Amino acid sequence: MNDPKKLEATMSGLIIMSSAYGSVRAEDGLCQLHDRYVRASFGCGDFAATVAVVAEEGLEPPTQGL
Amino acid sequence: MSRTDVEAPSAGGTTLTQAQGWRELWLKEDWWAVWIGLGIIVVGYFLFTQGASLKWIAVTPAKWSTLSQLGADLSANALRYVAQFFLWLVLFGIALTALGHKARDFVPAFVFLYLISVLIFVIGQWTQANYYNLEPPLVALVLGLFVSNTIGLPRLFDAGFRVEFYIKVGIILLGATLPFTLILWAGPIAILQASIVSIVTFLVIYFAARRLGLDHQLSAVLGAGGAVCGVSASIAVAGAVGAKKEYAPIAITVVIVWAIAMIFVLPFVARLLNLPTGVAGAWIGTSEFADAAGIAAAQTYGGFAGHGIAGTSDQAVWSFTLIKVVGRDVWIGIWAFVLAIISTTRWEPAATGRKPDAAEIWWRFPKFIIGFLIASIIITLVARNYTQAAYTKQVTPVLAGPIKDLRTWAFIFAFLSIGFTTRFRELAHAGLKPFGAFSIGAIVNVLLGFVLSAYVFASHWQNLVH
Repeated sequence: MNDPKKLEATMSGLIIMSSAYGSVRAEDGLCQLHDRYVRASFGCGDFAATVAVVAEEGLEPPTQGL
Repeated sequence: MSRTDVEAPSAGGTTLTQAQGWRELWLKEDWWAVWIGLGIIVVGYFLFTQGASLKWIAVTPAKWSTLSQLGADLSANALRYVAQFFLWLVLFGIALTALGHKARDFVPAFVFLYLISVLIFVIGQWTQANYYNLEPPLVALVLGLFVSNTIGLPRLFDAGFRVEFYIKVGIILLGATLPFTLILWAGPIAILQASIVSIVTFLVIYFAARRLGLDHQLSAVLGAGGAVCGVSASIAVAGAVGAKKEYAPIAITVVIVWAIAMIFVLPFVARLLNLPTGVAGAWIGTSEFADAAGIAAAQTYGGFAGHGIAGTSDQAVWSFTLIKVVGRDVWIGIWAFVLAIISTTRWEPAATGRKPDAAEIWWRFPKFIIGFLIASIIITLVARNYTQAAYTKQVTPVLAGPIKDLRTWAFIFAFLSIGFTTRFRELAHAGLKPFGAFSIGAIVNVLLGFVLSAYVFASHWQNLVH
């Protein structure tokens, strides 16, 4: 889960002096399987993504990692 | 299609969208701050070349000593305030809507924010304000904290209380009053001083946390928060090292408690020590944890200039910005990259995924700094055609001055938003060990920052001039 609005709702206090919409977050998100906050290139072996932008462009989504 | 529209659940429980590449230009608030900040400066310059100015819309309350004076000033300029309100509403509204916020949440929140900002500005312009320590950043913060922790505001208003967004716009506008030649002259010392303090602070917090039994990742997340750029650094490093999901909220709590305390402590200790504004700004830049908190402290101290404190109000904000933005913020991508490598190769190779790509240094780079530097270059190119005296007489009143006034508004929006979004009871429970480890580092940071600012590089910081 890396939607900035949901991240800000999940991480108490994030909006006080930072933001989930800023560049420094890059595309980090919460891995809800392992309860970790990870970078987009995390490459978890259990990750089977439906990558939104890829799907939007009509391409086949990867089945593992990014 | 918005980012939330396209998000879909995945088998592994993680959903990742890619906003990188050109999409970042309209999916990250840093770039929107650049468009708005530079847009204002470019329009201001265009008007300047046509013999016009942003001055009309960059209205601010005049100094006043009686309520009748205040009433006359506000009523005479009422139309200008209405126009300015709509200018901000449209600019911020377009940006925040593009980022995924709902206009119906943002608009009422910003109406409220603007009205209270006028009140804060008015209080700051009272001729007795300095005597009673009614510095606008502190008044905004105290009022915001009081309201959010007692009366409370609708949660939907958070859509309009965008601290980081407003502070980034303000810093870019600040670039238009900071000559690029000064950045080139002072930048290397700023980077040197900030690097010394950042590395020492990180190592102190990290090893103190390890000594207290905390794991590598939490120690690193806390260390980055104290050493680099507060909450932003903590979440960047949390993602980079694959931290457990509760670690970032722990660091956020600790950073915010310390950062808010420092907004009040640093300016008043610096005043007790009679530090020149440039020196105090450098100290605040070294020792505050977040840009918004640091700007609040530096602007507060700048307000003491001319009241027994040497230097100008600009020098406090300039030296703060040089140390914090140029000296510390720009390195966050490298900190995150290095720690990600260490995490994936040494700490938890199996749990923290594959090695990071060096391109992540760029993705994490705080892009608003690009806008800040471009703004400075623009104003420097404008200024090269004038002597100092001619610039002060011909350019400052119609170009640099109005940009500075709009910057002040952006900062007040940010200071108020800090207070309105800080609900102490909702912050995650940090625990004594993380708080203790961070506090040890913060104390070292403050002392080392003071020695470097007030002794080692003191002559450098107190001589920041055009």
